[in-house]
Amino acid sequence: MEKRGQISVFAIVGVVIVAVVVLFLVVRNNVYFGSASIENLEKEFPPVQAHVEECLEKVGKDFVYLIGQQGGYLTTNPGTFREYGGFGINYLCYNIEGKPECRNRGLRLIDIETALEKEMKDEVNSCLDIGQFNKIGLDVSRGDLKLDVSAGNDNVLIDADMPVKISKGSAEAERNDFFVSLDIPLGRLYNSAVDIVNSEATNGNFETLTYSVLKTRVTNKPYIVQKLQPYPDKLYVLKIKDVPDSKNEFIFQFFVEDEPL
Amino acid sequence: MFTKFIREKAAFMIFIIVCSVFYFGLGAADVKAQSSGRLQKACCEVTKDNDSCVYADRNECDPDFRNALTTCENTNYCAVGTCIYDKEGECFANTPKSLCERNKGTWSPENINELSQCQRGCCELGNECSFITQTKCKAETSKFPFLNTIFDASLTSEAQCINQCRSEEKGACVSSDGSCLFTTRGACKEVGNEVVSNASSSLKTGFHTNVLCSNPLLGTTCARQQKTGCFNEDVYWLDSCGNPENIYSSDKDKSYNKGFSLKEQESCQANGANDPNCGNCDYSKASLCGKADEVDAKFGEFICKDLTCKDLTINKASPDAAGEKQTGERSGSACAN
Repeated sequence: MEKRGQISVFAIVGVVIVAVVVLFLVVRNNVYFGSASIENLEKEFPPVQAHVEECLEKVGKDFVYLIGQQGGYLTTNPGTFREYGGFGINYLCYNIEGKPECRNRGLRLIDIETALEKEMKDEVNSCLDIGQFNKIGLDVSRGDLKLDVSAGNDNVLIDADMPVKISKGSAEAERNDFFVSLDIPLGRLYNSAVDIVNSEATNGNFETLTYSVLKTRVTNKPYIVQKLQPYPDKLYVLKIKDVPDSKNEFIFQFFVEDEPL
Repeated sequence: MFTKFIREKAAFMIFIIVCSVFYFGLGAADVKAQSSGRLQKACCEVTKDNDSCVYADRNECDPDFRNALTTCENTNYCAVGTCIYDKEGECFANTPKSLCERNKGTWSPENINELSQCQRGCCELGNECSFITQTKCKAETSKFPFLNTIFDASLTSEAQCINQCRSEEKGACVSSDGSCLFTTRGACKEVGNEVVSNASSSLKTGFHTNVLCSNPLLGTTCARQQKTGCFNEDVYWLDSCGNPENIYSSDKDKSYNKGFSLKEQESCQANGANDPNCGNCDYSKASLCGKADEVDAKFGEFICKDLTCKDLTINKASPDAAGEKQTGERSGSACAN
């Protein structure tokens, strides 16, 4: 009888200890114990910053890959693209009746950057969940998001201008600038697309092999320029082998419209 | 006679009427569709989706801009020429006039190959070279206020341009007789080739960026870390051919870096002047490579010498001095003897 009583006491003590530990963990994650100084509030920024950057990277990667697969446009408007291989791939040069040359669509790098900024904004906004960092005694809030995308030769820089405030009482810490760099050669492949389109627009053809060899020599990486001919058009597929990695190669592909025989 | 075929005639009449109804009905629908423009293709100066010069269904055209029931090459507003964007420094061949002007570009009816501002050359930006147009070179350089535009139109290929910038790179210049000189790419006239020599490893002639002459991969006659010497302001290991290797460190393997160049900031950090283990001198902190006299280096005869003045001489004979003048400076800065 005494033994049974002892076991009950141990069981109760065990349950109480487990409950206290669980309560401690819950409270620790949901209640802010730090003082209301700017230095302490600043210490709360790293997870918020990591979350914002994670969203920028995830959304940025998806959109940059898509824009490469669709020929520099995120939209596929009537008369401007052709379905091929599961993608709506844009024409970057339109057929001129009875002539080998084509009419340049004049896609600029700034157009690509602007399209990315515009279309990514909603996705980044829905990805961001700043409220998850609120704690009892700590308020985390954010303002409007403004994106700036800049496509370099070998990387795409995404800069988010968005005020994030962490406050407790009258003390307040704020950060505005969040930034990620994606190792995607969008600018380099776009420049090659301009070379190809300019050649197609003036001469009606483009020599892929010589170009690939020269670019491989310059970049020290296998630079691949493929020309496919799904009748009656020409499809150019550009990539740098194993960039950013072998499993997830970035491609930039586009159509040059040609005339049916 | 009339009554004989009356039923057949009636049936025939009904057949004719039914056929006529379908024929005219469909025909009218077609005419109506055409007159409302539903099936008409036109060259839209701008479409509702904001695309320029697209030959599409007329209904897709933005009514605020021009359109014509013909292909775009037959219109004046979609005539093609070269479009130059000065701000971005880009040139586009065979681009529609209206598109170019709408994007604030300058349109020219000339061919892209005839416009000098669209011809590429070598643009030097800091220590990088790009094969771009002069306009783009200016645009890129203007982003860095401390840089001047260096554009060489005589270089006509990207490979030549890249090599131009790489001419200042340093590395091992290996000759076919097995000798080696650590120099710049521009100064190396040896042609790259693999020569099988009597030695166990084959000789790799030509220029090898950032590779030390004594690197066993090159198969040269130079042996690593034979002595030390002064090079620029620092103490360096020298190979048996007299070429500088990396900054002297008593940790020989670390300094050798497996036979590849090591940057100054990645080399050992000297613990002030007279450090017997590290030759990474700092002139701004009054240490400079020199022959060791006060302290012996762990290897070799050179060390980072202390430049601070030991004795301060007060010169009362200074001609224009209101007070006393001193030759030399206090400890911590270079001594002006």
